[in-house]
Amino acid sequence: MADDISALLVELEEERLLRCVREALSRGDDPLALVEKLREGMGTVGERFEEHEYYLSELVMSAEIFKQALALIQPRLSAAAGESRGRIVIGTVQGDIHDIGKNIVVTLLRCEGYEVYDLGENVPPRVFVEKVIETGAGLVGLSGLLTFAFDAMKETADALSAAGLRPALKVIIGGGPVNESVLEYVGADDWGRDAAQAVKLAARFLGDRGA
Amino acid sequence: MMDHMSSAERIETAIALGKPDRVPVVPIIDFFASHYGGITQHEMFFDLKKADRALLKTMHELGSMDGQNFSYAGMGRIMLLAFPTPPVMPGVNGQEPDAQFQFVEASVMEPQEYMELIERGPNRWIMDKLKINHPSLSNPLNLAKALAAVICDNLKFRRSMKRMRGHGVESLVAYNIAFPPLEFLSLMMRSFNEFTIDLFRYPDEVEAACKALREPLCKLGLLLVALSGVKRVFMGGTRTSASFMSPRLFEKFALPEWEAVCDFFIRRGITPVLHFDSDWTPFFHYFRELPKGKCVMNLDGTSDIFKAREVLGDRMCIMGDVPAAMLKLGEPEEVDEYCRRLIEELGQDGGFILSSGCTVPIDARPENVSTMLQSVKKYRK
Repeated sequence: MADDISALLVELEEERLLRCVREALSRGDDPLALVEKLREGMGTVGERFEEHEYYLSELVMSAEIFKQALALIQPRLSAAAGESRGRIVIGTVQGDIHDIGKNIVVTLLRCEGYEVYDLGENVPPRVFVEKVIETGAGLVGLSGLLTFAFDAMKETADALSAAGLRPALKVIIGGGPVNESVLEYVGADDWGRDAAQAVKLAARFLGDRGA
Repeated sequence: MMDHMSSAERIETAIALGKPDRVPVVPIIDFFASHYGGITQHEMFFDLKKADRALLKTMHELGSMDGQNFSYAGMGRIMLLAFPTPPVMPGVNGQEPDAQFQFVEASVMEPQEYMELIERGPNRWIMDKLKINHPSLSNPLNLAKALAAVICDNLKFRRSMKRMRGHGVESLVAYNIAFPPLEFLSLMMRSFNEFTIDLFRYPDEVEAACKALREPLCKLGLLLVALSGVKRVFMGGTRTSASFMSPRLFEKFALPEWEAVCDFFIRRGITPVLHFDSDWTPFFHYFRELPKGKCVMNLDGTSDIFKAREVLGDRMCIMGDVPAAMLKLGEPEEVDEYCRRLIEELGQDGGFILSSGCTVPIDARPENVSTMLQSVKKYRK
């Protein structure tokens, strides 16, 4: 049955998947194994996204189904079972309030088991620095859609450097107009074209599961 | 070689897939021109005369243009009125006078309201939503005052368009906006994430609501065309692009809408300017069915504009797409080379309008903007 859970997530069969999860839990199946199956499903969704078989719409729906299923499983998980793959601080930089892309990245990173601190939108550099120090995060994600945001990203990356947090701390950027030239301007460690790339960058900089 | 066509003739020739005396240049330049011209963003939104003077100074110093694509100049009052969630408006509600205008996206409806929209009637339902942000509109006197303000602003727009035409600057779409219902619901009513999930959970309800909204939204666009006298209409597309939506969902929900909304205007002799932000490359082929030479596809630098020419160049005018990031961070040589390529590869047989993709940013380098504006004469095709 647990195998079905993975496949049902990939096929975006919300009702059937949630029914399967409820049945598995009532049978006493290992909740951690169920979460792993869900993550496997998310992995396949990510592959289909990269192969242009799935688009952002399917990515959003799969993440929503994942969240629903996880909410059912969560009460049965022991505290230790939810071990984090790494800590990430993320936000839309100062002066910019666009949040769609950032929110999708946050959701997918959480699905992948990262501990994500979402600072929201219009976030000053100082707040990023304080949060990284507070949480000991290894990765910062800066998002923005406006060209103004390039300057705010640069100021934030510089502030993280000035605080002595880099180069151990990695900084990634993303958002509609971000490209190689923006990466160079900001002085970040890498950039992502879409949410799936952001997940890959997190794995690269924070290490794969089990690594 | 000298120009021998007027700006209006040049633009219309390109739209009809003909070859004008040279490629026309029609950027979205309101934010940049106001900054460059020495006025605040607030003044640009609320004082059309100042905005026009700033645009003329920009043209005088950086280069002329055949027209402006969509412009927010003078639209402050209307933009504050038109959204159920207030936008970030420079100089309003504590914002700095030079703050960047931004939409604030929030869901103002629940899924069950798709059917309520149909039962209540789309016009009354939309008005109810506008009252969330503007409770004073419940009072008929206040509603009349708001409408009077819109009509007053409309008269100012007409005077401005006449004034700018005297300087050779056409208004491509005036303030004529027509939203396809899916875009309207996603952007203004439900917000992206919730709307996307609704497409999977409540497909029939979304489809029915969109059908109900189609006519009133088209008629609003038609009213704006009548008021402005400009027979072209701006249709914004983002949420139904391939950056957001799969081909399966596009075919089911969006394509019938785009076809119907374009048909509504084309049948009335009005040119839809499909202002497509984000990536539409995988969807270009769907637009081949639209009547030949009756639409403009305006791209923002995310889609592959060269592919657009290949797939659609014999069907509709292509417009775009000097990227905002290049205008801010690039060197003039890079902008020059990109414009040369656009003009030579897309403009050699006509059917092309050079534009920014999407907006010339406030903080673009003036020398880059100048390079873009001058390129149409330098690489005359």
